[in-house]
Amino acid sequence: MASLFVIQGRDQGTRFKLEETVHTVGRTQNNSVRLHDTEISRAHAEFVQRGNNYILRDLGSSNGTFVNGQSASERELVSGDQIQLGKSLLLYTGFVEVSDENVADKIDIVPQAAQDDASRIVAALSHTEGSEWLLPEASDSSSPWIARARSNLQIMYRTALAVSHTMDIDQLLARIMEMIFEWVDADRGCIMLKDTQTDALVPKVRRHRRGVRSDEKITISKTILDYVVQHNEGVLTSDARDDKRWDPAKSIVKLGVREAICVPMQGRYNVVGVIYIDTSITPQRMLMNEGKADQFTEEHLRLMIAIAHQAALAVEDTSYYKAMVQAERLAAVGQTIASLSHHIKNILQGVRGGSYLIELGLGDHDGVAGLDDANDEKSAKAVDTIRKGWKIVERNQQRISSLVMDMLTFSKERQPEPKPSDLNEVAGEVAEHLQSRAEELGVELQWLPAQDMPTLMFDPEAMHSAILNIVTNALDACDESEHGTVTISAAYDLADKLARLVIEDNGAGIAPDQIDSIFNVFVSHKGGRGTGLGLPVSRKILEEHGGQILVDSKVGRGSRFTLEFPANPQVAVHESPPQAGPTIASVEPPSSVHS
Amino acid sequence: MHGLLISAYRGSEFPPQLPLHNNLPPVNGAFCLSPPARILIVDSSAEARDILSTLLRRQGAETIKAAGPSCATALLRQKTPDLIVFDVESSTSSSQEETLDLGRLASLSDTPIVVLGTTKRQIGPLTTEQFVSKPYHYGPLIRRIESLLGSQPAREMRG
Repeated sequence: MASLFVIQGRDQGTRFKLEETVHTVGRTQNNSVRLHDTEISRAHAEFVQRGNNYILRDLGSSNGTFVNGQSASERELVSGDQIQLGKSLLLYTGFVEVSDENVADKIDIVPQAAQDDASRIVAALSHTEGSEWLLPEASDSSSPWIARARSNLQIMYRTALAVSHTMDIDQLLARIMEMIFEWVDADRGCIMLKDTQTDALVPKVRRHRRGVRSDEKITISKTILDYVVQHNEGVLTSDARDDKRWDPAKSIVKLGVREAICVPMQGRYNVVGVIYIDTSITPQRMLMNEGKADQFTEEHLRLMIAIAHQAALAVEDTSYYKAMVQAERLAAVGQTIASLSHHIKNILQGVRGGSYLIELGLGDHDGVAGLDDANDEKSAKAVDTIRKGWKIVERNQQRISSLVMDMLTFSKERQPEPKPSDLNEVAGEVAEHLQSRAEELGVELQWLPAQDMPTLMFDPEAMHSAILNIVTNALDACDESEHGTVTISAAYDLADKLARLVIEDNGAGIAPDQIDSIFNVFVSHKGGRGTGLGLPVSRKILEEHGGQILVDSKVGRGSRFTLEFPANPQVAVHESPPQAGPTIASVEPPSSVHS
Repeated sequence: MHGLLISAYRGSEFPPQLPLHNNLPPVNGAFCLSPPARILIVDSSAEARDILSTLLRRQGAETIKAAGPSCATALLRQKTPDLIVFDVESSTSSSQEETLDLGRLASLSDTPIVVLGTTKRQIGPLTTEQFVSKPYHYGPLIRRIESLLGSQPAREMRG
């Protein structure tokens, strides 16, 4: 499907799809391509379909029709052509042939350079250095081909804008490759895109110049690809020997030199792929160049980097790329939903159990109601059953509440609401809250408040949650231990102005390979009990306060979690202002006052 | 007993004077085996073990509890229960090996298992398998256990 994109003029930004056999262009309404331009005739020109492309025909317009700056009465259009009608400039993009060969078959990524491939990196440039090339220099002493390339780059840029709306990913890449071959004397080239999920580079488009053998596989060193992607730098490689002394006799035996350029496609946020081009310099060519093998120069490298950047932006705009990113997001959402539903299902099971007990107990109670006193015992038993059931229902209600609070805390971009608060008090509340649970689990819970804890500005509710999660984990870690102990201690570091809370347990400990993942959402090593949100939520809260959580743990010995955040001591609210003048001593009234 | 049996057990016609267990009067005394049915509950959640145990004892059964398949296998050997209730979803931290061991031993001893929840893991080979998906309702579960027990041949007196 072809299209016209208005890049200058009153209708700038408008896109016209060309699908019919004939499209008329003019300023009146009856035209299929209607332009609001007073310098355009009522029936200015027409686009006539021929095969996959269109022919532009001027219909005797007053001001004429121009294609790429040249006056045209009839012209077969090629993708990228700029059409001037009156004051309006239109960009034509036509149908681009896409070869459906299996590209991946023809490209080899090799982990190490083959025995006879002596390619090494000759020059490397980062993307910003490359893009500088696009800025015109004061003293422009560059060669004519650069001037031409620069102007073509403008077309490239505009095309990229246009194509992101009209072309699908394969057409876009084919077009980019086409344009690269227009400016650079490369023999072969390919574009590879990075799969967002596997991070592997997948060849998408490949091209070869006419006359060059096309069945040959393009061998690309994985080392070079990795370098390009990781360092985000374009590289120019050559397998020419460094030997400056040129021996013509030897060159006849050699097959020639292969030079290549590999550049990262740096998009808005990530590297989305790489562009690779190479050229084979035959011995004859080298002899003509007096032994110099520099087909590709640093100028070429800079140009390629600039092109790759534009290409990346266009790729990111395509629905293909968006779909890939979307699929990744959906997978993450799917996992979240699965995890959440698992937790909620367990809570529901608990509620069902408690409710069932209550129902049975009520039934029992009804059964003995109204009977004689001998059944008081039965009645009491019935109430016990009800009470037991109720306790279970309540506990699960609390679980749902915690889960919801955790989810909300985690998902919101919440700004903490700091108030002058006492960390000793907040941590003390947590200890009190969990005392009964500690007893249930047979774990000793110790709370050591700080000697001197000034009033600090922090969000007491948020901090309560953060501490609660860590202490709960500590208690659970000690569940299987003989003499489980959890110690909470608070301190304020006056020198560093840091509030510090240490929660230490002598429980199971965390394996070194798991320590990194404990803060990941929905990763729980507590079997069915953990929601996997506790630690991520706590860390989020500490980070919102400008602080952090440090973990130190040994399997079989226990763990130490240190919560710290910066805070300045606040002047206590109830501090009385300094008094001026004599202090008034309280005086006992004389005992004989009463009358 | 082989094969799946899903016979609904409707009410009880047994006299109410059955031995009380844990001071909870059984409602319809459906687990009226002599000696009382012994049921092994395998679930990593203490709460879940507690609820099911309370309900089964109410019905006149004796219960033993295990937190996971490895403990359960040991208890199966020592205590020879008449039936096992095994929550597979809660035992994610135990290994496939431990689960298989339990299944094998249950099969060898002809002990029926009611499996709660779904898992990709293998439990078999089992003689009588009953799979109950979670979340389940307790009423039907108890009835299912009853029917499975009811169809078991009488156990020898246990020591």
